[in-house]
Amino acid sequence: MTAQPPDEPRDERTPVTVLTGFLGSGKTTLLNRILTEQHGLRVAVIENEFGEVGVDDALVLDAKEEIFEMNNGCICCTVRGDLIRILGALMRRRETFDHILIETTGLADPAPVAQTFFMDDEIAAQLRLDAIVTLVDAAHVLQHLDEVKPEGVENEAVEQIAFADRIVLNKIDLVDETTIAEVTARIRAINSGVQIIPAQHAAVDLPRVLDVGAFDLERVLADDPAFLTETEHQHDTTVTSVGIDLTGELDEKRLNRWLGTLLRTKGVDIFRSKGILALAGAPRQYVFQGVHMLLDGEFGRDWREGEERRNRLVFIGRNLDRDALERGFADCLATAGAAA
Amino acid sequence: MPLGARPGPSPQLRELRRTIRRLLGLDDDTAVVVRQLACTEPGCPPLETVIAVLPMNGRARRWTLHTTAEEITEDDLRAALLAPPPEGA
Repeated sequence: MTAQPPDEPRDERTPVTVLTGFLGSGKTTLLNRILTEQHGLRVAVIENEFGEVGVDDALVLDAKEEIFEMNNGCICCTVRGDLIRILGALMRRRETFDHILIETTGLADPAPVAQTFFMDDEIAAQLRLDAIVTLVDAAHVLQHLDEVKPEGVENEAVEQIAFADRIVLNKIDLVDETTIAEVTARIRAINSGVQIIPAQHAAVDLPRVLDVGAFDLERVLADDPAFLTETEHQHDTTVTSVGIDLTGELDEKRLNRWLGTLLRTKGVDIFRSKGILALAGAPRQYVFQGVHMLLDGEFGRDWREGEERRNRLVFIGRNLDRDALERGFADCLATAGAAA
Repeated sequence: MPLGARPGPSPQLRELRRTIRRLLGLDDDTAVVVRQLACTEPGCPPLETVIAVLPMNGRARRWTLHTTAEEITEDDLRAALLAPPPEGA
């Protein structure tokens, strides 16, 4: 489970895991494992596809996917109205469970679920989004990824992989090694830093998917520091990851202007963003996470004596312009000359 | 706060929510969300405040006030919330 630094106060908020994946990917099997294995957690489940899970002492709530726009026409600010209601009610009985698991429908866009936790500060004060876990059917995901959608219609399989913090690559017993390698490469081309957990019958060590702290600001980029250097693109895909690793201190005003403009103008296409930044004059690291246009950030640990001031950030999204992102970010360095 | 990040729960936002609940006579089961958002429309002020009211049973409603949350007064709320029709959801 998530390690807690000894000098940090323990985060008492209830963790929330979002479980996504196509129909047939094994979500219900994993859910059943979570509800029946002896892990000592009392899990409240919010489901959209009610019916298959039947565990006597589990708190299972039915939800009707209700997309609610917080402002007109911007997908960046859509939330799940049903979740706001249900989570509000659950918060009044927090003592009856230790963990919340939200299972989405096979065709769901994970963004409104994640944005619900960024939008409502009452929810964010009591519940913490722990991770988005996506189940992938190794035998069928390639055909889902290759499915050509009509103009303006999202490929949900791509979105679910792009948003994921953990991918359970399920049903590997049904495919050969070559297919596993190809599926892994396709997943990495979309979301280069995601942890991929191979599985049969959705059998995964639950600590690898529950209470992993993927949205903890202190753990931003901690899972796989090497992913930022991974720039290989074997596939022509419009949804990709761009990692930036730049040494130096940032001018806060320029950074705010650049990032604010970027998210305002490209927020629809930037699914997720996260980073650890060195702001000029700040003794502590600045860490942030974002979903589309919504950001959550705070100062993290102190920079250590003699530690190189290094900025690391990653964007996952559609039609990302790597050169423009790198240039724009480099212009935010305090040493970058005249401000734009 | 760098990057315009969510400032987190504040006594002021709590008070805004309390006032909204009182003005609309909402029960405890009704969720009230107050959020400042960057406005993307031309001519808008940089920040707007969105208020959403989601009853457990019934239609969700939403209002947008073109000002920051800290500048909203009870009179502003009264004028916005009690003047039909609200924006639909």
